[in-house]
Formats: sequence, structure tokens, C-alpha cells
Amino acid sequence: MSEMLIQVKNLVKHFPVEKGIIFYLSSKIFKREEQVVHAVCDVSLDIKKGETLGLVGESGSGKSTLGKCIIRLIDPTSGKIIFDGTDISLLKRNELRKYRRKMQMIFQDPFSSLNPRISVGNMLKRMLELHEICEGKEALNRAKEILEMVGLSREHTNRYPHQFSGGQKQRIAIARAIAVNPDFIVADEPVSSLDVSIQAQILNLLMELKERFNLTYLFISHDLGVIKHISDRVAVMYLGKVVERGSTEDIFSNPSHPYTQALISSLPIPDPEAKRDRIILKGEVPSSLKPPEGCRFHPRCPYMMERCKKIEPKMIEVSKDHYVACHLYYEENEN
Amino acid sequence: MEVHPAGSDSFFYEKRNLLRIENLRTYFFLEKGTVKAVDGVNVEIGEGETLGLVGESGCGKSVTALSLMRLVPYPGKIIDGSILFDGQDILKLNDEEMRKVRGKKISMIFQDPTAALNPVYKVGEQIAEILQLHEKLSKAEALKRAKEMLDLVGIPSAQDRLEDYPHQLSGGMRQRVMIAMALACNPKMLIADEPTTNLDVTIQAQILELMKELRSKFSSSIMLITHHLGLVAEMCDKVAVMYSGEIVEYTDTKTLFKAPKHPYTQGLLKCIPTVTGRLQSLFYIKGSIPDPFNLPSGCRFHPRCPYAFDRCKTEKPELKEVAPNHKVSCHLYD
Ligand SMILES: Nc1ncnc2c1ncn2[C@@H]1O[C@H](COP(=O)(O)OP(=O)(O)OP(=O)(O)O)[C@@H](O)[C@H]1O
Ligand SMILES: [Mg+2]
Repeated sequence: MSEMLIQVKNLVKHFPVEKGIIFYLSSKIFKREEQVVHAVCDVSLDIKKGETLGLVGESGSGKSTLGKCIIRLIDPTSGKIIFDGTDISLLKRNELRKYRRKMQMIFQDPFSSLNPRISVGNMLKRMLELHEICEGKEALNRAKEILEMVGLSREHTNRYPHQFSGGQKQRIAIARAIAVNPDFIVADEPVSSLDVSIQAQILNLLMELKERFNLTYLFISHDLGVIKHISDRVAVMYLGKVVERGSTEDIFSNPSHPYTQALISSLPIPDPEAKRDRIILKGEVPSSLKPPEGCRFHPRCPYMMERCKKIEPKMIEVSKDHYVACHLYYEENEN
Repeated sequence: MEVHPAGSDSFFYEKRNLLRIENLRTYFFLEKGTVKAVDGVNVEIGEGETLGLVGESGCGKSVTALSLMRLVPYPGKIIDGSILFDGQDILKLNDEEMRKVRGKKISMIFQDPTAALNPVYKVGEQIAEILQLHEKLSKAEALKRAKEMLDLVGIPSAQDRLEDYPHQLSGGMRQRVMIAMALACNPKMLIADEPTTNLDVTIQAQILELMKELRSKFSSSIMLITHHLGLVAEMCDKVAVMYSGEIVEYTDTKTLFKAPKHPYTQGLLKCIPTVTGRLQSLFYIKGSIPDPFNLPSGCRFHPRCPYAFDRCKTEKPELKEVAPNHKVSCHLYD
């Protein structure tokens, strides 16, 4: 199980900010600097075969962008993505085809990620044909089997997405992802839009399918309860950077980055008698257009020191397989 | 039933009731049929008390809140019931009288801040306007107060922010501006509809802290609407659980978490991921919420209930006190 399925090395993704024609022209005339969103900045991580890596962080911290870069739905600005031993970061569209099937994605919003004009059976059939797994009647039969695997019934093949409830739509999205026998699935907030009673059903389904088909997940969520439940290891993102990663156990019982500490302390506990030592941060999450210098978390950090304002902390291993990017864990003059 | 001193006939009779909703029914009359969004709701909130209103999407939480503000949108209509606020039925007030209540005595943090803030006015002007209307302050005084309110809700460089339009603020800031607006006139009653749902967790923690602070400063009552049971555990004195337009369980927070009685409440509490051991299969409630145009007969929860028996299919259970301070609508407790 120790073999790596995914290795991400120094991944960077910048988006230019679209400002329209006037800005474009004036930037040409006045040599104004082009603005870019630093969505993902120098992220390195790996995912072992058969494990679930949970990715947490606040909205806009770059979680989805990272997920999409890893499976090459969008092109990274720089950095390496190694999938099962092959560097896929520079593959051209046609060379990528072979890998497309192996890497699938489930999106947050089951309503907008399904084409309303195609019946569920046809959608799955097309998917199977596109990836040359099977075709025609065989594909349709296979579609029925897949629907059963995700807890729907064979009769559902003729129905259209709008005829399903939110939870059922998410099941269809899952069916589409597993239809082509992938190795790796990026699940981007797959239960966030669902009610709690339905959320549990979908989480169970995802865990079941993982066992059954030996899948590897990158599970993106802002819900720490869900992350804790489903992940083997966890990576915490803040403003485009991974600030801490380690086993779920380490992250939840021994959070080391001040941001992770605040995050975990703010998880509301469903017990009126629980003791709460909440760390209340000050200020807003800064914009990723102009991330703070030095450590990006320093303006909100309760332990901020002089050097945090200037020097960006590197990741260090604080205990086995537990990495943190924070000056608190460096000796005074190191770094 | 026992008789308690006047004005305190709720089962939480230690505190004087500020708000009492009786048999509220708010329906939407659509072409396709009638949606019974709120269908016979009874709750009360004491002074300085926080009531949690919980339930899944579409169960009628927001419509209950909008009914209290008398802001139910067309084609919705309050068709029955009374809403006694400080002894007065606000459903009987005329529009002019209602305007005086809204924002001054009862104010609301809306689920969607963009709906509450007017995009074409500066933030400062919007807060000042409420103060001018209710507190009869001059524009200059009102703007000064507005700045103080923004300070209070933790908005940095508040003076400059007064000049901003809503779209210039981040989501967390807009939420705080709305909270500042809602609290500008020290309302006796604050309705907070999912006040933190769209916010990042660390910002969420900041806002909750703020609500607690304001509660202790002005001893306002709060109705906190949420689907997040963790929030309820932390913030509320008592809880009403809603399902399909009705209250199915109503008791103090401790009892609800320790000894929930309605099978729906029990299910909701059991499916929280952190309650189950890691990587284990989660408990879930089978099926999904009922179609509002095609409500189940008898108890609306019966098709999903693990304990349903014949009577549940035909006879609707009433919300009854089954233990001291504990109301449940379920035939299991007859
Ligand atoms: N403007 C409207 N027109 C028609 N139906 C409506 C309208 N507003 C609400 N409803 C219906 O009333 C019912 C209750 O909705 P409500 O918004 O109160 O739910 P909620 O409990 O607040 O849900 P959520 O947790 O998603 O906010 C739903 O069936 C909804 O579809
Ligand atoms: Mg609502």
C-alpha cells in the first residue's frame, strides 16, 4: 500500500484576472502590471494507492484548482504531476487521452454538472463508448449495472436528471465517475450541497465503492467533520499553499500550524456540554490577488513574529510524515 | 395541565415570553398546487433566550422567519395563526405599524446577504437610514452610529468602509454589515437565518462570538435558524426540530442532544460524521424529504421512519408534552 499513485511537485497555477478590453488597452499603453490570482503556489504532496487524502481549507484557498490541475482538467502554470510513475504534467491533449479514463472527478453541485437533455442511461453509455470500454447494447446493460452499484435501480436509465432528487443526482454523478473503472477520483465537495440525512448515504457509498474497486481519492471539503471521517491523511490549504499535512490522527489530535489549530478549534461540536477552547482569529482572509508577504497567514496569526512578515516558511517534518510550514518550528536563526 | 402565572404559560416559564407563535400556517399558492411551507407551528421565545430552529432544506425554517417579519413573498400567504410579540399580535398591525417593528424591535439576518443589502447604496447610508427612521437621528449622527456599529462587528477601518458599496466587500464582511444593520437599533428580537452557512469556518467562529457578545450586552432574544446541529449545541437554550412544515420535537438543548425522542431527531443526530468512528459506515435516514405537492398521509415522517406502524400511516400525531419541558409529535409516545 505504500506505493504512490499521485506525486505533486512544486505545483503552481496562476490565473490572469480578466479586466475587459479597456483595462487591456490601458495596460498596453501605461504598462500597467497584469494582475494574477495566485490560486495554487508551490504545492507538493503525494497520495498513496488506495488511500483517501482529505484536502481542507477555506473557500478560495485553491482546493478545487489544485484538484483540477492534478487530473489535468486545467493546465498548471508550472510544477510536476506524476501519475502512477509517469509525468503527466507536460502531456499534450492527445497523449492525455490514455489517462483521462483513469482520473475522474465528482463535483459539488450535482444539479449543474449533469446534462439535462440526456437520459441517465445514455449518458453512461456515451461515457463507456467514448472511452472504448464497450458499446451499443452491452454499454446500456453495463449502465444498468452501474446504476445498481450506486444504489439506484435499472429502471432509472430512461430518466432525465431533473427527475431525480439532490441525493440521487449525486449518485448519478458518482456513477458517471466510476463507470470507466478509474484508479483515482477527485471528489470536490461531493456532499456539501446535500442535507445531512442524505450526506451520510453518499459518504457511505463513496467508502463502499472505494473498497470494492480499490480506488484512491482526493477528497476536497471545507467540512472538518466529513474530512475527519473519511480521510486517511489530510492536507490543509491556506491561500494557495499547503500549510500542514499528516495523518488524520496527527492533524486532528496534534494540529501544529496555528491556522490548522484555529480551524480545528472552530469545528462546532454537537454536544451542549462539550468544553470549547475556541481560537478566534482576527481579520479577513486576504485576497489571493495580493497575498501577504512572508508567511501568508501572518496578519491573522496569534503567534506572529518579526520574521514571519518577511520570510516564507518552508515545510518541515515535525514528526514522522507530519509536515508543517511555520516559523514556530524552526530554531531562531535557521531558515 | 398546571396553570402558571400570567404571561408565562410556556413550559419554559422562568423567563417572560417575548415572542409566541401560535398555530402559524403559511402557504404558497402555486399553479401546480399548494405548498404548505409552514403548517401549524407553535413556539415561544423568552427574553434573552436563544431558540434554535433546525431541520433539513425546504422544511420551512426561512418561511417561518419571513412570516415573523411579515415579508413572505408572493404567492405566499399567512393563512392562519397569531404571532404575539411583547403581547401584541403583529399579524394584526397595519403596514405603517409593522414598519416600526421591523428593524427596531425585530430584525433579521437573512440567509442571503445580497438580498438584504441594496447594491446601489453605500453601506454607511444603508445603516444610517435605519437609524434615521427608527431613532430619529440626524444624518450626521446616524452615520456616526453606523461607524460605531461597524467597529462593533469587527470590520477593520470602519470609517472607510462606510463609503463602500456592498459588492466591494468580501462575503464575510457583507455578512457582518448585515449583522451590524440588524443590530443597529438594539432589537429585542434577532432572527438569524443561517447566519454563518456561507462563511469560512474561522470567520464563522468570529461571527458566532460576536452574536454571543451582543446577546449578553443587549440581552436580546435570538431565533437561530440552521441545519447545523453543532451550532445549536453551542448557541441555543432550546430547540425546535422542523420536518415538512411542522415542529416534530421541542425541548431544551441538553435534553434534545441527550435524549431525543422523535425518530427523525434521533436520525439527524446519529448521521453527523464526527459521532461515528472514523472510516466506519455512517448511520443514515432512508429515503428523502417529502415532495411538498404530495405529502404523506398520517405522520409526514412515516415513510422514512424505522418504527412506523399502521396508525402512523393514517393518523397525524399532535405535538404533545410527553415529559416535563419536552414536546414530541409521535405515536410512539402515546
Ligand atoms: N417564494 C416561494 N415560492 C414558492 N415556494 C416557496 C417559496 N419560498 C419557499 N417556498 C417553499 O416553501 C417550503 C419551505 O421553504 P423554506 O425556504 O422555508 O425552507 P428552509 O427550511 O429555509 O430550507 P433551507 O434549509 O434550504 O434554507 C419549500 O417547499 C419551498 O419550496
Ligand atoms: Mg432557509
